[in-house]
Order: sequence, then structure tokens, then C-alpha cells
Amino acid sequence: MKCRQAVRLMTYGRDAESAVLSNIQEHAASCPKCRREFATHSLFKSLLKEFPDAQNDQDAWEETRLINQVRARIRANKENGLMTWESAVISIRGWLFAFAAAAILLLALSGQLAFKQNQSGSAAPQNEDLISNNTLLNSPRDFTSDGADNAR
Amino acid sequence: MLVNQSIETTFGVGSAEPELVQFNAMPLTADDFLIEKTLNGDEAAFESLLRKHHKRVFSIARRFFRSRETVEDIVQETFSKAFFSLASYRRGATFEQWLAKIAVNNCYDELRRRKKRSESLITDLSDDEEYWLESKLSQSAFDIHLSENEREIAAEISGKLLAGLSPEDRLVLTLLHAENNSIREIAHITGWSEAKVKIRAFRARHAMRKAFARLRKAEERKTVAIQGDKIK
Repeated sequence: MKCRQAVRLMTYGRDAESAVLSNIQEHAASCPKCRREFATHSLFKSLLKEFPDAQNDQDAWEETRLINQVRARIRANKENGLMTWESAVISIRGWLFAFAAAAILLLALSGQLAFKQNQSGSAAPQNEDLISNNTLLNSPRDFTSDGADNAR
Repeated sequence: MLVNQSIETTFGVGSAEPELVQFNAMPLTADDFLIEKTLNGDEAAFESLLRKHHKRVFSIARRFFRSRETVEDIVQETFSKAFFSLASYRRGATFEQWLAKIAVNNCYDELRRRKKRSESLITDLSDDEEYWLESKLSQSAFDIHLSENEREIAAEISGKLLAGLSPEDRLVLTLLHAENNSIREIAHITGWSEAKVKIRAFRARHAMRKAFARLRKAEERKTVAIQGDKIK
């Protein structure tokens, strides 16, 4: 096992420990750097496990008091209309209606706009015809032909 | 929604409950039965769930917070959220795992709130703590066994170390090394991918080492300053 691999496996906690802990230890025994690393790692783990306040032992909690507190909190949340999807939807119902109305309005406007564009799109060829007629009239060929006529 | 009619065994709330009840070829646990009763408006059934699982929730909250008020608040909030989300609970995963997930998420939220308010105050190690830490490191032991006195010192140092970490790092380290969860379990609890948990674990360990070094450097600076004063 290489140092890099040993350090990586140390990081993954239980997954590494169950499978390859002995391998890591074997490697660490022959590698001073990894031994130090492993010792620091063990110390970290011990420190993390000791974090909880011993005086806050769960046995010291009064079950009845806890039940009453949870019951009170649930009641308060119910009264405030919080915590459920239904109540969340109800609380924003006004906004939902507003958004729905805005969406319908936008759809209607965009539809109208599209319709107008279509209309103007179908009218466009007529204009183009007119323009093309005009250009035909004013085309250089006409001019030259006019000039030719005049010359004659 | 579950159906009660074909439940073969019935039991009263708080009575000796069988672990599994056969339900249309699908196992219905005692917890499932209590959940079903709660969903039908039986508050006593929820109390039974609370009595049964509150120790687990307490133990999770205590891993993240030392203040009694905060731990209590997390536990209450967890059960309150569980009550309102019971309809979304799906049989398959155990109720305890589901509850643990809510508890861990509550703890994570609280850690983030505190970080935003910058409540975590990083203080230097005391002389006793520094001496203890040095002696433990010099032993280079694989298995560390702590006496009652040592446990108090270790708890203090742990608090100072963890205060310097980000909520994410703290979450991963606590779940991995204090709660002894596997990478997969952490991924399930946090909703992160396994790859993300692995990366986060690696970074968290690095951050912890840095916090550790910072604490020790602060102590060294303090010692040098004291020696300087003595020379003067």
C-alpha cells in the first residue's frame, strides 16, 4: 500500500476501517510519516466523539416534558398555518392567482401580436408588388429606353 | 395511504409491539402502524413514536451542539417537522433513518445560521489542553483511550476545533467519524452524491488539520510572548 492510498482510505471512515484497516496499520507501522498521520487521524476521531456535553446525557431529558413541548410546537405551527404543503399552497394562493392571471394576459397579448404580424405578413407582398412595380417603372432600362425614345 | 383492515395483529399504543406485522405480503413495521394511526388523527400514536425514537434524535443533535437549549430545540423541531411530513414518509427505509435525516438537516441548517451570524468564536487552547494534545500526538497511538478527566479536555479541544470549520465540513466529519456512518449513508442523509461526500470528507479533514495547526500556532505564539516578557 502506498502512502497516498493509506491517507485516502483513512479519510473515508467506516468504509475503509471495515475493509482495509489492518492494511493501513501495517503500512503505518513501517512508515513514520503515515504513522504520524494515522495517529493524528485517531486523535481527531476521538476528539469528535468527545464533543457532546456529558452533562447533556439523553437519559437526563424528561420524556413527558419533551412530549409536551413537541405537542405545543405542533399546535403553534398548526395555528400559524405553517409546515404543510396544503397550508403553504393556501398561503400563496393569492399570488398563484395573480401569476395565473398574468400568464393568461401575456398569452393573450402574444397571440394578438402574432395575429397582427401574420396579418401584416400577408399584406406585405401587396406592398412589395407595388414597390416592384414602381421599380420597374423607374428602372434604368426604362430610363434608357425612355432616353432612347426621346432621342428618337 | 395505508389500509388498516388487513393487519393481522393489532396492538394498543404503548403496549408490547411486534416488530413486523404481515400486511398483504408487505411487511408492516410497528412504526408503520403507528404512523398510519397518526395520519388518521391519533396523537397518542405519534407520542409513542416520539418515546421510541427521541434518544436517537437527541444523540444526533448532541453531536453538533453542546448547549442544552439548542439540542432541545433541534429535537422539538425534528419531531414537529416529522409530524407534518408523515404523509410523505414511504415504507422501505426505516422510520428512524427518516427521522435521522430530518434531524441532521435541522442541525445543518442551525450550523449555517450560526455561521452567518458568526456566532462561533475561535479561542486558543489553554495550557492544559495544549499539553494534553502534545502528549497524545507524541504517543502516535492508533487506538486512543481517554480517562474521565481526559474526556473533558478532549471535549473542550473538540469544541474549539469544530468552531473553526465550515458547516459542511463539520457535518461530514461528524457523520463520518463520530456517528460512524458510511459514505453511502451520508449521501442518503444529506442528499449529496457519494462522490461529493468523498470530496467533502477529504476537504473537511484537510480543514480540520488546518484548524488544528492554527490552534497550535496560536499557542506557540502565546508561549513565545510569555518567554519574551520574562526575558525583559
